[in-house]
Amino acid sequence: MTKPVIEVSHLSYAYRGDQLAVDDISFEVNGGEILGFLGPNGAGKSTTIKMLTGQLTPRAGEARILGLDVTQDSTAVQARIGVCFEEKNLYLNMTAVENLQFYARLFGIKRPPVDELLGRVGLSDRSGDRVERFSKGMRQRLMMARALVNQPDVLFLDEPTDGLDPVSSQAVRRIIEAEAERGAAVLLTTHDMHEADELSHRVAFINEGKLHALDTPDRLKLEHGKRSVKVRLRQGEEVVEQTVELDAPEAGEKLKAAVGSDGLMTIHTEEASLEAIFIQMTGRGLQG
Amino acid sequence: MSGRPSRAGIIGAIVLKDLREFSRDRLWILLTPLALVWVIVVFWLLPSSVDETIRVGLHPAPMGHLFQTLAGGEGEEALQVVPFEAEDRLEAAVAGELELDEEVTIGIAFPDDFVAQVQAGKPTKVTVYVEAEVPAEIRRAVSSGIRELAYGLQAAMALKNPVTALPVKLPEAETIVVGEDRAGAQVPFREKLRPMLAIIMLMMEAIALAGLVAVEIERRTFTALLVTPARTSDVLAAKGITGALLGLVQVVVLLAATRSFGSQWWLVLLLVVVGAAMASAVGMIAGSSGKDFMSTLFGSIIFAVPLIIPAFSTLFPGSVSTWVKWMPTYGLVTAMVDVMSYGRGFAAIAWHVGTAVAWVVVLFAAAWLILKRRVEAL
Repeated sequence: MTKPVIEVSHLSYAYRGDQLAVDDISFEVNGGEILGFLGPNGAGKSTTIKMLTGQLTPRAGEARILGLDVTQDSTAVQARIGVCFEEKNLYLNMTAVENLQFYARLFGIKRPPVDELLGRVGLSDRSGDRVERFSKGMRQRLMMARALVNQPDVLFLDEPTDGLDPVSSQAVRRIIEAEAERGAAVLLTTHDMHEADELSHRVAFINEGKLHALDTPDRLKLEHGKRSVKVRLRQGEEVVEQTVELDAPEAGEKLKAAVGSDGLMTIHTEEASLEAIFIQMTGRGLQG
Repeated sequence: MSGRPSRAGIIGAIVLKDLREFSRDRLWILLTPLALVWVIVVFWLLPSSVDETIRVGLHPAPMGHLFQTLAGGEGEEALQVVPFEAEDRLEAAVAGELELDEEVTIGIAFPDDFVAQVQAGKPTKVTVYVEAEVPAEIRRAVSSGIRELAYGLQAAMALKNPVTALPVKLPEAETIVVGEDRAGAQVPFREKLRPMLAIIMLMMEAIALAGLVAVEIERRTFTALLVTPARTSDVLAAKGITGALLGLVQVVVLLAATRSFGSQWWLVLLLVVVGAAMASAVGMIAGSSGKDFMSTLFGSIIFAVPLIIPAFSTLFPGSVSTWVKWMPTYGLVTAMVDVMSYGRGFAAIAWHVGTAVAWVVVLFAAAWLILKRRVEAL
């Protein structure tokens, strides 16, 4: 059995006093896996990432990346991770190429594949332009390229598609999937449940520093959603709506009848969305 | 994919990045050479010599010869007597209302019968005119000089008539100058200005560096550095080198353009390196302390301006307040004056260099602590 790339065990952190920003959380992420970290603002997502990337020292618990302790071996860990921040923290008066070359040097890479990286994020034609002239979407794509400059084994992505147009969002999502296929472990924090649903192999719900759930989106939906379908039929001039409970003994008969009816208009599953499950479990929305 | 990044490689990469950013900052690129040129021009416009002569106007004119003889003899360069035929012209000359080649700062109007009255032991009155700026000590010295003149005339009479000789034997007086006698070789004002100009340029650079650090913190690019193999100490070292390099280059240009290096150029260079390092640490403290760019700019002025104060003490000789001696730049400025103005060697400035280096270490330690706390709070 392959050892998990990210191992988090009973991790806690408090900024001041005893108010815990992260409260005894444990999880693992395997190579090639995308873990969606879902939670509202202030839930503890960014604090967790800061501890895992060596920016903060945990108050309690342990975290290992590629078998290395993030506190004891932070420099060795940082050499093998890529981080894409929510803030567009690029050097604005430097060009896209200069930004990437500078970060590559910090990793000891003398000849980084700058052209290839810019090509992947669709910025080849703007490589020589200063970042101050870039749109928000272009900056976000460059942030993504920067996170990949050392071909990392672990990617931490904090709201990577926040504020992007649909085309840019899609481009970034394809890169994330490609990195996971390459074998990188990806920890993705997002407000966007559709993005988490589309990309993540598993999702973790975090609220007020605590982990409330950790599973595949499908299993969470099955576990927390209703096992029923809603059928709409036209009967003469009227539209009739029926709910068929799938666990009921007569469910098969009812569905057969509905499908065979001439007046069948629509059939919908009553599967819950990730956001609805989050609210159900925490009593709080993701946008809060 | 990743190589093995060395600390030197990381620091070098950050230094090159900072220099590139600095070279693209239009404000500083414009201000830096402008300030440099302005300072150099001001230096060369200032007088290159010191006028040590005090000109005393005397009325009536014949008193001039007598006064000069008693005051120190003919040919004394420090005192020049200018005779005036009329007392009102003497007063006007001291008031600056007459167009004269040389300024007369003190005027003494003797009554026409001064000598006769003194020798007869009768009361008489002498009027002294002084410029408003003449210090009280000089005014008292002139009054003493006039009394001395009267005693001298009495003594001259006594020698002619021993019966009335004064029962006083005047002591011989010897003046011993402690240290180097700089009478007639005073250091010109602009020479004294050199350390101050150097410190001002260094503090300007400290403010520029503070801006660079503040922008890095404000835009969170600092955070992006610290998730790579770069450590806070690497960033601190890199910023220190960048700031010191920028300060060093400018001050070396300034001192070269004002011909300040002289034969002990290596000592001057050593002091500039220490000063540049100090300015760099100050810039980093200021840059790490502000909440945003504007508060950093204001804060860096608050930090940097007091550090120029010790340089002012070189312009106005006299006892320096104790608190000024505790300023980080005091040792540096004193050493600069000793080397640049008086040509003293390393042994004479070793203590000052030592205190300046100690301050640099303390300031860098403070900068590291402040920067680390600031970055952790991001």
